[in-house]
Amino acid sequence: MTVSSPLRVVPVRLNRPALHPRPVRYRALVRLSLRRHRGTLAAMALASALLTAWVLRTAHDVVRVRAERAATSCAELPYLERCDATVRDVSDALQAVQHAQFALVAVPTLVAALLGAPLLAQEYERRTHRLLWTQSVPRQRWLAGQLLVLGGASVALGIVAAVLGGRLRAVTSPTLTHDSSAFSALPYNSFGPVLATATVLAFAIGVLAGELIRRTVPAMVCALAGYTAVLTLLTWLRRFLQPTLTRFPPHGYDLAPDDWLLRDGVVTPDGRRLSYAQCGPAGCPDGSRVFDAYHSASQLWPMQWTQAALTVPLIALALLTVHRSVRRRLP
Amino acid sequence: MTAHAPTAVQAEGVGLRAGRGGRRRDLLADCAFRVPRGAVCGIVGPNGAGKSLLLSAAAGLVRPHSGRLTVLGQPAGADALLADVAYVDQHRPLYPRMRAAELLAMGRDLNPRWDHDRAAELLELGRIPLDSRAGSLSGGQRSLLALALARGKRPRLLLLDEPLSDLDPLVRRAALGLLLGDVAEGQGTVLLSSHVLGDLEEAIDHLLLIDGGRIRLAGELSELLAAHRLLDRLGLLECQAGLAPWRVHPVDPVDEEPRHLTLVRVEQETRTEAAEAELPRLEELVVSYLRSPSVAGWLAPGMRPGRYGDADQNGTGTVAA
Repeated sequence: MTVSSPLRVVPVRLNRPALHPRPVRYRALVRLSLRRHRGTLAAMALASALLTAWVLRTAHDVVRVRAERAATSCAELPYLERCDATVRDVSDALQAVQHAQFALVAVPTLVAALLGAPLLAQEYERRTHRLLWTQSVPRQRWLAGQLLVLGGASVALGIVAAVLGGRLRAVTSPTLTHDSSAFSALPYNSFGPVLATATVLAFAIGVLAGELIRRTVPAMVCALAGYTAVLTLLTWLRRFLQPTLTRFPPHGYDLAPDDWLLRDGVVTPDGRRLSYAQCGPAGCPDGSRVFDAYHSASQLWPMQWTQAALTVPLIALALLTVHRSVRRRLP
Repeated sequence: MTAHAPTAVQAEGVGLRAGRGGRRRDLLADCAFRVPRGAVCGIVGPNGAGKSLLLSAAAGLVRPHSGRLTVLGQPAGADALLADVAYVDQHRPLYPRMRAAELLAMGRDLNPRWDHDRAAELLELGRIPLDSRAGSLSGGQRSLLALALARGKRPRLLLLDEPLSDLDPLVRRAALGLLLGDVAEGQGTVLLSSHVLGDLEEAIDHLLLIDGGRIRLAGELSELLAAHRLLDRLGLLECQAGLAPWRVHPVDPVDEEPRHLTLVRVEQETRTEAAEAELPRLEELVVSYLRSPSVAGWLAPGMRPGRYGDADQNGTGTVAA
């Protein structure tokens, strides 16, 4: 038996002429992303329609109650017996406003858990990233397509929620009761640029959690925890975003209902600021003047915009981290 | 030896790790081989040997922690390779809620050279209706759908991880026929893994045997077979006594129980004298190497890395040009 040197048969090239390669466009990536997330997107659209209907109805009720109260002059004399019904209506309406505001504040948490966290975590969990990352599109571009669609959806949701919250704030302003100024944590976070950017931030934190944790449910939990932590920090920080105003009212507290009192007390003749409690049983030193440190109602919007401007770099940082991590990812 | 075809995949000192973070472990160390273009190369080895890892690395999904892995002349994982390399994962990841037609549309959207007919042929093979959701398909149908996505891409290198494991024999044959037809038609290259050699034997023309973190055997089938012989007890004694005109390196252990036949590798320059001895079958070759982990691996010249393929791996035998 002889061993011949291995003979290679070189096949005749029968290949069809190369089809004209089409460059892969962003439109294709967006289409893929829409196809992939259509269920989530449809659910989000439905939820925001319901939320819109609810908030607008609540706002409408507040307008009606306000008009009734104005007609009956019960605003000035709420203790009159004939005003009982009106007072009850007002407090019911404010209660409803508070519920609606809770729902608006919850929008970013839903976005973090349902849009952001699963975006990458679900791909890793199902290993579909290995299918996608071996198509003819660099994975960063695929990521960009995904972010464009779902990020766009969260921007839209954020804007809808912000406008709805703005409507609630508009109908409750000037405030109906002294303890419901728009500076308090709940109303403050439920409208305007703060809510819009917070929604997008929640999305970015969700995507980041999904990229780092790679499993959907733990990523959702971490995204919620992370977003809550950042929101708490920003909410605490808001008082420093505008210069504190001080006034020395002749007869104690006389701020407008929509102002936000930070602290009050007395200024002693030697210039120290004491709270009323620090004055001691002997009373405040002679010659002390009363002071109020506060934010005026006109500072509300500048404060909102400043906070929104602070949130944008956080969003960019989170998404940039995701982008870098995906590019270097070793599955 | 015939002139070398250009290289499709080349590994030089490649080390690969599996797992993440602290649980990382080395699966392959210092691997060196090349797969010529136009080859249908089977990657064989026991479970957990690193076959999938090697394919993932060639697909750019895993980076080697050492050495250099080159695919079609570029470093594995380069963006420029994405359109030329198709990969079918062992677990056939597909979006369960997407319909077959939508997955094909995705393939069309994401690949510039997409050929719908080629993909559709594999779907017909599995009788997969275009409107069925991926999650509702059987294992074999999912495999065919994954293969269809890879084939429709018209890649120059096709990486298939256990592509045939859940196909029935008829469909397996037909699917292989389609995929190998593509190779014959163009200058495509196929790397496919399996832990069952029988799955591959009729399809492949090159073999890469991985075991114990190393390349144990690599080469064109005919080269591999021609370099080995099965010797009976007498033939082996002759060799050991230096009476035979050829030099051999036993693969099977020789000092244990006397075997009926012992597999030996014959040194290249003495090979013509060994012509009368019995040639092994491919399966015997693979099993013998797997059974003797301490025996050095052997790469046939055609699969040795380097431009001319003449770097001698084991210091045994000189490769004729």
